Amino acid sequence: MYLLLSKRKVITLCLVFSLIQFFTNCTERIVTPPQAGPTKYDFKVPGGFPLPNFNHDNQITNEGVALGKMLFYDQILSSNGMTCSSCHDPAKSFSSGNFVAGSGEKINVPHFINLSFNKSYFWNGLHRFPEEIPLRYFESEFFDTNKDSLINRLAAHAIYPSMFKNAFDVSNIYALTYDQLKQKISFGLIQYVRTLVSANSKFDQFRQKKLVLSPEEQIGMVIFFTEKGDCFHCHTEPLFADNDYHNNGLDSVYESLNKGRFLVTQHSDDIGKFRTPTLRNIELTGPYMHDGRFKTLDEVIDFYNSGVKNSNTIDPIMTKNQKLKGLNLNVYDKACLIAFLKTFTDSEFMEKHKN
Amino acid sequence: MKKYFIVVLCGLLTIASCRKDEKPPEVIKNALTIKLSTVVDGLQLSPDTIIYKNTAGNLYGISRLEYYISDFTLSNNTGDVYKSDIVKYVNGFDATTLDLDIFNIKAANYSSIEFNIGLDSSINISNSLPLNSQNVNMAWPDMMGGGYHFLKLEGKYLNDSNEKYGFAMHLGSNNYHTRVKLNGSINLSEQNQILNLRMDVNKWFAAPNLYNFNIQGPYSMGIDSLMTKIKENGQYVFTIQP
Repeated sequence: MYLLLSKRKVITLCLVFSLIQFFTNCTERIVTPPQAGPTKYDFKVPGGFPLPNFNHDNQITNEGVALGKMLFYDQILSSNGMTCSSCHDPAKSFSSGNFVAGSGEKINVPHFINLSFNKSYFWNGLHRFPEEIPLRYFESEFFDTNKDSLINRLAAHAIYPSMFKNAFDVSNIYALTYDQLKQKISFGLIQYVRTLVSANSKFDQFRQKKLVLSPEEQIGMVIFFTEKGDCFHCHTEPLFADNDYHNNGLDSVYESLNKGRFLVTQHSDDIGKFRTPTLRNIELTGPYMHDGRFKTLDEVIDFYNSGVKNSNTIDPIMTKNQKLKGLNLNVYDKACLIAFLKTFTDSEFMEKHKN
Repeated sequence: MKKYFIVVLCGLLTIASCRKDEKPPEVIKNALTIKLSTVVDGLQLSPDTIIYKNTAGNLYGISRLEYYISDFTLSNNTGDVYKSDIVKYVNGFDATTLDLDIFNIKAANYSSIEFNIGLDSSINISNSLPLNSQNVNMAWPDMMGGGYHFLKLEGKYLNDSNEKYGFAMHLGSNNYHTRVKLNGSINLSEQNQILNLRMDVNKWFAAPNLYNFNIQGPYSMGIDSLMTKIKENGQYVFTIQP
């Protein structure tokens, strides 16, 4: 072929090559070989959200998410027919009503959305990484999992062995210890849960100037974001949670599970403090508070309006503007505030995760 | 001849493409590490315990101390001036937030440092700071002007009836940042230096405006007259320590 080219063409080609070489500045091109194993999940951080807190020991992959999703809705993990979705119900933004603990006390099931943006997990911050949460599910209180049955059923399953292979390079489920298996299950479940990102509520669309709020919703927004209601100090935008712990004045005396953060830190200053829950999809996640004591949003607003109780550890913000004597919201104010809270419902997310 | 010219040109282009960028003449620059600490009238910062007494006589404890410092200027009488637009978030109870490194400062013997507690209006704009949980939680609602809280100082105090009551000194909104100027030798002529800056929380309530929770009120957010008092006191809260 070279012989077919004239000298002029050869020189021209030489010049073009040199120019290309010049403009690319001898940059070394790193060629990534085709990757074997799981493929990285494309996690998109919604606009305005803080950076997610990932667990570097459990990178999200498409294969891990697929495994976790299947496990999340599968009774195979339990001996009593329960699934993760039994309590973390997609129809309730991955929450549900109260769970009655072994002690007989009620614990409201936290809703599993936007978990990657949390710094700690559970009402009292018991867990630093969400991967620790499912490890509790195997206990009698939850799944009452039978170890041998679980291993046999997973190993004999038509699909799970290949899914474990694809997600975690597990060639033989029997070769795992029970703890190793539980860890893989937990990692898969949490990879799936981390994909449950809700960020397209009516309020988000209002923020993006795609729609306007009704007059009542706008009044509610003013109450929420000003000193009048003063919701924003703890329910901070965009998560509508502040990754912190507060005593919001539910009780004067705190006993047993109601001691909240104290049960983790043993600091007396933490008695009665709980993690601020997100308000996203709050319309769907009742009952409310860590023990589900309020059935409706009306009850919640009534509490903040006139039911806050003083104690040694009550958050300073909760006594602001005479809050102990009430916010002085009238019936219309309260209705507007609730109307605004309902703009946090993400219909697209709910539709996408319909079970 | 033309052929040789093109070949030589090709060669020169190829060689030029592989040359590393030339470095500009080296200017000596050093780094300053600012180490922040907090006391309350000589006592260490301790969460939630009512052990402090301010100038007005209020007994109080502190549960939260978060603030920004920004817009640093180092200068001296011989005309050396160094400015940094670094914004530093500080949480008095979180040791990981108490150190600030400022690099590439022109070598000189500086005699003063100035900075803002809070943010200048040019950067006090909602979502203008990196989106991390610290900045997100310092947001000042758009309904109240937007931007960020400059200061969150919260705790409990004993009121006139000896009842424990909450206080929250919040600063925010444009022009409520405090400019601090501290004189002292910061000699970066030959090497990096550490500068110890200490905040005395009591100074927020001391002068020029004596602040009494029972008289002025325990909450400042959005109340211009109270935020002005706190802002003006803020210029004296820091000192340089050995």
